[in-house]
Parts: sequence; structure tokens; C-alpha cells
Amino acid sequence: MKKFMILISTVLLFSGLLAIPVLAEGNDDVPRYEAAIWDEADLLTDEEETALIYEMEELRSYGNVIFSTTVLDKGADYEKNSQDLYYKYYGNQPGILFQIDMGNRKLTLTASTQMEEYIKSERESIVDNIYQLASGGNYYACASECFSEVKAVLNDERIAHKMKHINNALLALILALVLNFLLVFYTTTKKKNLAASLLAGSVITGVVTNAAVSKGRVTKIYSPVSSSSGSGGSSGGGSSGGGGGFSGGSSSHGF
Amino acid sequence: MVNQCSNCGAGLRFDIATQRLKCDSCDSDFDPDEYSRSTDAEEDNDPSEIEVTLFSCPNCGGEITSTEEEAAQYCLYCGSFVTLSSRLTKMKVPGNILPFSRTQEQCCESYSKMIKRKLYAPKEFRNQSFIKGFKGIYIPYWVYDYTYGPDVTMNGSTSTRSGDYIEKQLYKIKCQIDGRIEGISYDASSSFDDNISHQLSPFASSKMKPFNPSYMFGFYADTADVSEDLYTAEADETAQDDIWDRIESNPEIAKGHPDRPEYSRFKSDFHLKRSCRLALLPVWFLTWRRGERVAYSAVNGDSGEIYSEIPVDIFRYLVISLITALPIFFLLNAFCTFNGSKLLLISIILSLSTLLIYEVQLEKILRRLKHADDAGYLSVNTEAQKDVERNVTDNIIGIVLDSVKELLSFNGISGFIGTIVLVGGAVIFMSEYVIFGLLIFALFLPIYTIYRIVKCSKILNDKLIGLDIAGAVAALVASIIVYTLSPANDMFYYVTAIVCMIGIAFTAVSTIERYNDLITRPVPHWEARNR
Repeated sequence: MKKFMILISTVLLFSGLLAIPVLAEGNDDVPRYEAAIWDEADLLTDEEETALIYEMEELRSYGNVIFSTTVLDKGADYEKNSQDLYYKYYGNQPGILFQIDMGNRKLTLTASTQMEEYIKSERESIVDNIYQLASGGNYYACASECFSEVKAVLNDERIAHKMKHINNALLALILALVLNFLLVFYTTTKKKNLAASLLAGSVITGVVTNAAVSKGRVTKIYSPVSSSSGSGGSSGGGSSGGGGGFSGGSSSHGF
Repeated sequence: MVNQCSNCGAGLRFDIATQRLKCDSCDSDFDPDEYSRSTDAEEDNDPSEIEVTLFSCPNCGGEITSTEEEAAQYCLYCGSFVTLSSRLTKMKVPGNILPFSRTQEQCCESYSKMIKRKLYAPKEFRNQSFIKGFKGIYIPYWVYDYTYGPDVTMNGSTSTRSGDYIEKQLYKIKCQIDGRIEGISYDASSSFDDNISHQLSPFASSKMKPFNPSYMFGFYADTADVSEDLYTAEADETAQDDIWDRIESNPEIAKGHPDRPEYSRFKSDFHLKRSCRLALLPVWFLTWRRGERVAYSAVNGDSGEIYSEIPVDIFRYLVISLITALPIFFLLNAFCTFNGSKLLLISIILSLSTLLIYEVQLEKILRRLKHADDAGYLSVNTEAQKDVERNVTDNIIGIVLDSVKELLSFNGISGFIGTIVLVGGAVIFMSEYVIFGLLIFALFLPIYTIYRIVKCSKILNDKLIGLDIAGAVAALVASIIVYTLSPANDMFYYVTAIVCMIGIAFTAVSTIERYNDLITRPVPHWEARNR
């Protein structure tokens, strides 16, 4: 009897210990994001995938981190494809998806909700900085550098902005030349209202007295109102379909 | 014309500050009206004419008159320092004269204040010895006066809809008006550009006095060679507009909803009568000359209104542009990051806008050369009038392009703003339709602009125009090619953008030079005027 009781207690205790992680999972309110590689175009080796997923894990606390390769039809809307792909699996969860489309030879970096808020201003620069790696066929380095720069942006670190200062300097000079010309043009082409200024120098008098208005006859002209007012009803339609769709943005670059 | 001091025999001049005739030799002064009466009594003159000295410039043919016989050493119209030939002649006495009330010092002071605000003006314009070169000249004007009333009858009407009928209620309006408009004035000299006289207006009609040659002592005068009929239609319309505005604003008359009649009916309904007189109005005049170009400055000798043709000093323009570029650069760096393709798109917009602005300048230069807006000049030069009537667009291509232009309503500044809005929308919204519209615009505009520029260069006989626009055209073509090919490597975009910007800068500077051609004038050359 005593041995039976000890056995039952041990079983119950062991079951309780096993239940703790389950209960713990049930009480966990922190969202769990994923890091995933969908290499449809088979651009990475197994070793490269392993190394890359390890780097992507560092960003998981911010949101989902996906690397995707694909071969879309020529002329396909690669940005929309990337956004739809992310939305299909993750809805409006925060996250990024970096896609290499071998069909159109385009890199697309898509960010969703909060991630978009963080990296929106630098998305273009990131793809500008990494496209040459893809041009050289070094897809692992391209993806690695992409996530590395995203991480830098999320940590408020600076990333490279190629040619930014030179471009802005040239643009500033040209805008200044054109603006100054418009200023010259505007300040010297103001023309007077001639009639108003002629009358301003004239002596004008005119007193109206004994004004009398009398009604004359009334004429009637037949002009029927158009009867084609139509139903005017709403055409209805417009899909009221649910969701709201993808919320975020994308940047692309050829390679 | 005698203008000698009765005390010492020296020459008299009209002193603006005191409004009296002054002798600089013995410090005597005289009342101009009393002086004129006493000399008229001594001389047996035809009251309808006065004797003046007519000075002619051997360089440009410009003519001015003066009551003095002393040789003039400077031509106001071409800016030449040359002894003008002179002869005595009779001048028809004008009905009125408006004496100068602004002294030369006041004129120079207000001009100096104005020129300080002109950032791009060449340094000669700020030079005090240049500014002191203002000369007083009386310009002849035709002054139109109108009376209307006393018994005025008008028709009025209102329309309302009642079911399937439109009912029109007619009114009869009668009133009594004792109306006058005195002093609608237009310049009567073909050598005084209408644009200048318009900008100097108004001249206060109430201050005009019966003509007295004493007021002319010490000043020059131009002579009238434009018929009074030239401006009657415009003056009639101005008078009619003012009368009708007063009529409509009268609450009693407004009850009858008066309908404005066309002019001949208006004239009879209002018993409108017009008279015309010649008056001499005061202008301070200054000529700037560089090579074969002149620029005029004029100041209304009564109100002080200033008109000035001020060219742009290229060096100052470039320096100010460089300074302006600094804050723009910091703003762009703080808020914008353009990738290669966006930068190229911006280059396309700016090259198009620069070409458009250049074309607008050329069109205006053409109009200025032909005196298209100077009715006075055209009235005495029939060949010039025929030239203006001949349209620049004289073949089917030009007609088609002009029609499309009318449709799109291009106009210098508004065209530029329209470009910015269209492209801004494309950049922000990336709408396919906006981009498609932009491409159509981008294709049409350069074709149209280049066509017009080639046409203008033939009329202006200036082959260098092609060089002026080469920068912007090359920029445009290169940008469109690279944008269309869409290469992967960013360096193609950046290098093309840099080359484009340089080309645009070159055309922008050329546009400023063309602007200077527009603002200044070629040295005039007149045939002997028919007086």
C-alpha cells in the first residue's frame, strides 16, 4: 500500500512538472516572431542558409524576418508580390521581407507596420548599398549585408548613403539658379492694371439723382427641364471585403 | 522764345522747388504766369505756336525740343555723348502742361533707394554719378475727357425659371447724372515706348495747368507725332467701364438690374461726349548704354513713380545663387535622400522647365523687337505693323504645335509650376496615370520648345541660340535614354545626372543673358519724323 502511494505520488509529481512548461506557454503574452528562409530559386547553399538564419535571429525581437528568393514572370509587379507574400503568412504583424527575384533581377526590401516606421527613411539606401553584391552573384553576402544594415538602422547607427552629398549639392545649385531666375522674372514683370492707373489720375465726378425704375413687360420662353435625371441611385458595389490589406512599404533595386 | 532775365539778361530756368522762374546769375525769381504774359505782350506771336529749338541726334535720329538755343551734348534716346544738330522750328502749342513737382535730387534719391533693393543690378546702376544723369523732359500726351448725362435711360432685366418656362422681367431705368471724367491720358510720341508711359501712370489731371512755355525753361520736350485717334477706342472703353461700375453700384439703379449695352447704344443712352487735348507731362529720363544696347529709366516728374529697365549682372547672379544654394543643400541633406532614378527624373523636369523658360524669353524678345505692344510706334511705322501681323507660326507643324500648346496652356511661370505639380504627384503617388501624363508632357514640350526656338533664331538671325539650349537638350535626351533603359548600375544614373545638371546650369545662365536682351533695347534708329 505504501509503495503504491509512493508510486502514485511520483507519477502525479512528474506529471505536474511536465505540465509547467505547457502552462507557462499558455500564459506567455509576448508575441513570437519568426525568422525564415524561403529559397525557391535555390540561391543559397545549406551552410549559407544556416549562417544566414543565425544572423536573422538577431532581428526577431523586432518582428518577423524573412528572406525569400523567387523567379517571377518578366514584368511582374515584384513589390506587390513581396507585400502579398508577407501579408499572406503574417498579416499585419511587424516584420521585414527581403526578396531576390531572379525573373526580373530585382531586390525588394519590404517592411510591415512597426518595422516600416523604423526603417522607412533608409529602405532605399539599404537596397542601393547592397545591389552590387547581387550583381556579382554573391547572394548570401547580399542578404547578410541587408539584414546587417537593417539591424544598424534599428540600433540608430548610421549607414552609407552613396553619392548623397554630391547629388544634393548639385541639386541645390540648380534649384538655386532656377529659383533666382524666377525671382528676377517675378520682380521685373509686374505690370500695372493700366485702366485702374489711368483712372487714378483722372478727375471723376458723377452724381446720380432722381433714379426711377419701372417694370416693363414679362416675356416667357418655353425651355423644358431635362427629364433624364435617372435613378441616381448608388451603383453599389465596391467590395466591402474585410481586412485592410498589407500595411507597410517596399523599396526595390535592379541588379 | 525769350527766356532771359529782365534784370541781368541771363537765362532763366523753372525752379521746381519754388515753382518759380529763377535766374542763377542774379538770384532773381519771377512768377511763370506773369512772366509769360509780359513777354507775350512784347512779342507779336501766333498764339497757336511757339518757337523752339529742335535738336536731332546724328547717331540715332532721335529728336527733342527745347526753349534754349544752347547746343545739347547728349542724346537721351541712344545715350550718346555727341553734339546734336539744331534748328529753330515752330511747335504747336499744347493745351496743358503739368509742371515738374519732383526735383532732380528727389528723383535721384528715390531711384537710389529703389536700386538698392535690386540684388542683381550691375554696379553702374548704383553709381551716384550715373544716377545724377537724369534729365527732365516733357512728354506729349493725348488727354481724353468725357461728359455724360444729364438724362440717362437704361434697360434692365432679370430671368427666373417657372416650371418649363423662363420668365424674363424687363425694366426701364431713368435717372439724372451729371458726370465727368477728365484726364485719361496716353503718350503721343512714337519714340516714347507705350510700356514705359503705362508704367509711369498716373499723372494727376487736377494739377495740369493751361500751357505756359515758362514751365519748359531748363527742360527738354518731345513732340507729338501720333494721331489722337489711335487711343480713342481704348480710352472710350476705360471711360465706359468706369461709368458702368458707378451705375451698377448705385443701389437705386441696381433695383432695375441694368443690362450693359454695347458702345454705340451706350453712347446714345448716356449722351456721352468725348474731347481730346494735348498736354505735356513731366518725366525724368536716364539712359544706360553698353555697346549697342540701351536701358531706360524714367521717373514720373509729378508722382515719383519709377520705371527702370535693369539688366542682370551675371556674376552677381551666380554669387547669389551660390549663397542661396547653401540653405537648400542643408535642407535637402536633412530631409531627402534621392536614389539615382529619382535624381534623373528631377533632371528631366528641370531641363524641361529651363527650356520652357528660355523659349518664353525668346518670344518676349521677338515681341519687343517688333514693337508689338507699342501702339504709338506701330502707328507711324507701317512696315513694322505688317511685320507684327505676320504670325511666326506659318506652317502646319507650327499650327498643330501651337494648338496643343493652347490646349495645355503653357505659360512661363504657370508652366513651370504645372510641371512641378505633375511630377511631384508622380513622385509622391507613383500613379501610373500621372507618370503616363508626365511622359506625354515630357515628349511634347521639348519638341514644341525646340521648334519655337529654331523659328525664333531664324527671325532673330542669331545662330548662337542653338548653343544656349544645347546643354538642356543634351541633358534631356541623356536623361530620357538612361531612364528608359533602366540599367542596374547606379553609376549610370549618377553620372548622367551630374552631366545633366551641368547642362542645365549652362542653359540657365544663357537664359539670364537672353533675359538681359529682353530687358534692354537695341540702340534706336529713327528716320526723320513726320511732324
